[in-house]
Amino acid sequence: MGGSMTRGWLLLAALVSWVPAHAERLDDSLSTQQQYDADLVWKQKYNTGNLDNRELNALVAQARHVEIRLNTAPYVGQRGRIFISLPLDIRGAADASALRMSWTTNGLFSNGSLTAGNRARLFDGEITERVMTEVFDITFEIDARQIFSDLRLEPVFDIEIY
Amino acid sequence: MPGHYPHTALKTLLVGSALWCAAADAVTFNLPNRANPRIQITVGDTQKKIISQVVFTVPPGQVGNGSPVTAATPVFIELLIRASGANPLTGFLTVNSIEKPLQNTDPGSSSSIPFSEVSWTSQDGNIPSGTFQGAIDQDIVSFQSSQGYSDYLTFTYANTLLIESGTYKGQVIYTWAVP
Repeated sequence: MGGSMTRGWLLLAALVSWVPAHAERLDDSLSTQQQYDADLVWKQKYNTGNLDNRELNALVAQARHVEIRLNTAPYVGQRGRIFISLPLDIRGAADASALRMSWTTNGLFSNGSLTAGNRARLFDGEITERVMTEVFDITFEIDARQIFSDLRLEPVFDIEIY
Repeated sequence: MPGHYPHTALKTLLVGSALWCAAADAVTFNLPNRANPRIQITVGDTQKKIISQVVFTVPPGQVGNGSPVTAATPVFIELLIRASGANPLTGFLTVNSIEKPLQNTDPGSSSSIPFSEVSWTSQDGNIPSGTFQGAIDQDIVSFQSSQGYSDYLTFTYANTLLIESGTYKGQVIYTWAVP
């Protein structure tokens, strides 16, 4: 029993430490929509003859016009960097590192991409709005061989003040 | 320390519940897997989409002398099978070499050559070398998803039979299937 308790605390510690110690998680619950569904389909549907195994097994899902609203009220007037990250533990994926998320925006935040378990910078500058709103067009790509059920993932937004 | 573990367990439960509640309001993406499994076979020229022809020319006076005759042009074969890790598949390549045997095309001739006189060698070993068995569903190879396999097969006529002269035409049919 002691062992299971220890594992429980270790798991909780891992969850709590997901956002770096010097960063604070941003609340995105103001976003107009909380759940997005996007079908995973083959990236290459035809002319698959000359593909390497990576491209042959690539699945993509696209989520368009994803409006994210971040509560930045506590940081107005300060300079900060806003990041997006994906947890390494993604439900439905045997190896989440095989997942890549890329996006384009309307310009307030940067375009970019990242893999699960990593973070990418979206913004660097003075926080001037109480709620920062951006619309993302997002593409998810993953190797079909790494999927054992439907995927469910939750990007995390955090801020570093400097 | 009696009572220590229950206390710890309670704290674990409370903190865990707090994290769950915090996550419930976050933007979440659900990505259902809608990619249907696919298999694909290509035999011969991938662009022309015609039945590949293999020609053996036995010189006069050498018919049935046991000197093999190898076709000049190898035939490309490619097999694809892809599926998600949730539902992996196994594909089986078989060949039917009895349905359309090598028949003498000369009018009035009923001569034929069994396809067991024809063998093939593999360039890369992905599709193993072998000999036609004159069977309806001769097993050639099986592969698991999710990959593509290709090879070039060079066909050889054994030339061991004393046969009526003429032009013989037949057809073998490859089938790539998931049972």
